[in-house]
Amino acid sequence: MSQIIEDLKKESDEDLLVYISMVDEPEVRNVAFTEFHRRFKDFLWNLITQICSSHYDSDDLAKAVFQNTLIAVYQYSHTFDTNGETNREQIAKKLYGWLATIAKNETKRLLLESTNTINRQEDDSIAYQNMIANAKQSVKNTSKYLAAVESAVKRLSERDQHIVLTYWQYYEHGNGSQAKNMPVRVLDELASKYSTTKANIRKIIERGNKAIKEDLASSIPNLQTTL
Amino acid sequence: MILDDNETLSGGLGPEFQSALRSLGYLFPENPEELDDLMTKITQLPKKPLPPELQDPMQLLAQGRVKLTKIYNLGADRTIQENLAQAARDGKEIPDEILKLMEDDRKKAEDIKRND
Repeated sequence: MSQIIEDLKKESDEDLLVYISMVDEPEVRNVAFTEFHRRFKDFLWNLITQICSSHYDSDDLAKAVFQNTLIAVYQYSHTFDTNGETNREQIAKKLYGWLATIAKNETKRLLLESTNTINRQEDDSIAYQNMIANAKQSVKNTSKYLAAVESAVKRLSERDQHIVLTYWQYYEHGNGSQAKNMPVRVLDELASKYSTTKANIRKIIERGNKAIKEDLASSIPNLQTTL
Repeated sequence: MILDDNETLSGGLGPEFQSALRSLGYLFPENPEELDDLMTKITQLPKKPLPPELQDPMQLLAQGRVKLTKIYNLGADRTIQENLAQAARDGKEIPDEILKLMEDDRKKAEDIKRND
C-alpha cells in the first residue's frame, strides 16, 4: 500500500485522474484521489471561498461546493482531456479551468437543487471544452477597468452587493429577458432573506446596476455605453 | 427610448462587465483569461485554511454529495403561514391541503437532515 502511495505521488496530474477513473481498482483509485486532494485542495478552497464570499451563507455554500466538486472529480475524472497538449504548464491551466467549471456547475446546482434542470454527466464532461470555446470570444480585461469595477461594486451595501451579484450570476447576454433568466426560486429566496417583495428585489438590482454604471463612468470618463 | 427588462435591470451594463466580475472572483471564471486574472488575485490574498471536516478525502467520499441545509421560507411556506394565522384568528380548522403541505415540508426537512 505504501508503495502505491509513493508511486502515485510521482504521477502527473492527468495520470492521477486516469487512476481515479479505474473503478475496478478501488484501492488504487482511492489512493490516487487522496493524492489529487492533496495537490488541489488549497487552489480549490481559495477559489471557492473567494467567489462564495458575497453569498449570505458563504461558509456553508463554500464547504458544500468544495465537497461536491471533489465528488464530481471522483465520479467523472475520465472526462478530463488534455486534447494532445504535452506542455505541463498548459495542462495545469486546463486542469484548473476544468475544476473551476465543475465548481461553478456545482454552485448553480446547489442553489437550484429543487429545479434539477442540469444534466450532470453531460455538463461535467463538457466543462473543459466550454472553457476553451469561451476563450475564443474573450476580451482581456484591463487592470484599470477591473479596479474601477471592484471599487464600484464595493460601494454598494452588503445587501445590494449580494442581490446585484446574484443577478449577474444568472445573466446571459442575448438570452431573452434577463428578469426571466433569474430563476423564480432565487428571486423568492432573496425576497425572503431580505423580507421584501420580488418587485423590490428587481428595483434593488436596477438601482445597484445604475449606481455601478455611473461610478464607472466617473472613474473612466471615456467608458463606452455598451459595457 | 423605452428600455426592455434586460436593459432596465442591467442598467446598460453587459457581457464585458460580467467578465470583469469573473476576473475579480465575484463569479466563477469561464475562460482562461478570466481564470488567469482570478488566480493572480487569489495568490495576492491571504490563504484561507481548509476546514478540518474537508481535510480527509476518504471522509468526503464517505459522505458523498451534500445539499445546503439552510432553507429560507419560500412562497409556499409563506402561504402556509398565512393560512395558519388566518385559521387561528378565525378559530377555524386547518384545511387538509395545508396540513398535507406542512407534512410534505416536514418530510423534506427530515430528508435533508438525514443526508447531512
